[in-house]
Amino acid sequence: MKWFEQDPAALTALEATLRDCYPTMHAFVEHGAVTVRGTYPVLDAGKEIDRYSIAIKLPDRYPHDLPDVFETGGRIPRTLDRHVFQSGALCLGVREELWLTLRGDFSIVPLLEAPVRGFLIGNALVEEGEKWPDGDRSHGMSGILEFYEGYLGVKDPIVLLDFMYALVNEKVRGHWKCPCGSGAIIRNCHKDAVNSLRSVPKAVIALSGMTIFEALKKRTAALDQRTFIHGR
Amino acid sequence: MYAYRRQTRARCRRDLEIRFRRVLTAFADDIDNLFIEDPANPTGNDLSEALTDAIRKELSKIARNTLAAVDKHGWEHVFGKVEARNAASRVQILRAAAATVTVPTRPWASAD
Repeated sequence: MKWFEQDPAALTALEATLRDCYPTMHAFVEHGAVTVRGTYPVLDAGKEIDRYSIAIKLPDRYPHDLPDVFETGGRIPRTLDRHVFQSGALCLGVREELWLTLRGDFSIVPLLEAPVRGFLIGNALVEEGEKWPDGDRSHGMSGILEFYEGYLGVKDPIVLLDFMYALVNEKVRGHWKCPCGSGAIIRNCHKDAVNSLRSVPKAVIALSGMTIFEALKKRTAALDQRTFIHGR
Repeated sequence: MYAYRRQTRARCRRDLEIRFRRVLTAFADDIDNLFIEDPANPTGNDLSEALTDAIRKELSKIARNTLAAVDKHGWEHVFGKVEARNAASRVQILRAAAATVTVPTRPWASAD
């Protein structure tokens, strides 16, 4: 059962929130899901500085899963370099980073006010020939590695994969060597970061693990192919 | 002369509000009976088919929500404040806004 079927009052509350906070956005039930559509005003100190047409497809487990956010006005080019898929879906960030930033609460207000607002302001700056204000991440595996390097100090994808496997299977212990490679035990090193990662759903970490695994597999296959050609 | 102009401007604003409210009310309450007329050919070209039932339903809901928001908070809540032109450049304004993002995340793409 979907969240809005289980609790119709939650949908009413969402509509009331939209009316009060984002009166140009509206919730529609369509194809068995709730989509929030309309124009989103980018505000700064109460002043509107920009406006985007967006749609947010809320997940079945709203607000506990990350929704898909689309730019629908055709303003942002649909290329990965602009962090937008062909469908218009915005790549707001590495899933774990979004989860940790919002502490797993993907309700409409925190979602719009943190990653969506930040993304749209950043995009407006890119349109002006500027850089993303806080930088952007590389695509695919490299972006995930960048996040984990910054958060946990892990650079080696194989070490990270091992750690993710242990994390998903709840086997990580405080007396283990820290995956950052410092030589210290986790308890005396990246304890807080590891504990925060424990709060991220296993499915989210497993998905990143799969992305890394598939990318490494592709890389190894390409390497084997080259060795084979040169060897011949 | 000035007073007359001010009066006229105020009346225009009021007229505009009344007219816009009428449009929204028609969308909200009478959407099924609205039709689109081709201004170039008003008697022989009904474009109402472009308004499907789904679009009519959506428009009606948006109009209802907008009227409710306007009644509760006023027009500025929906359309934003009318501000005097700011001399600061767009980039400066955007940079200042970017600095207010309390928990910035960095955009990514799941595919290579």
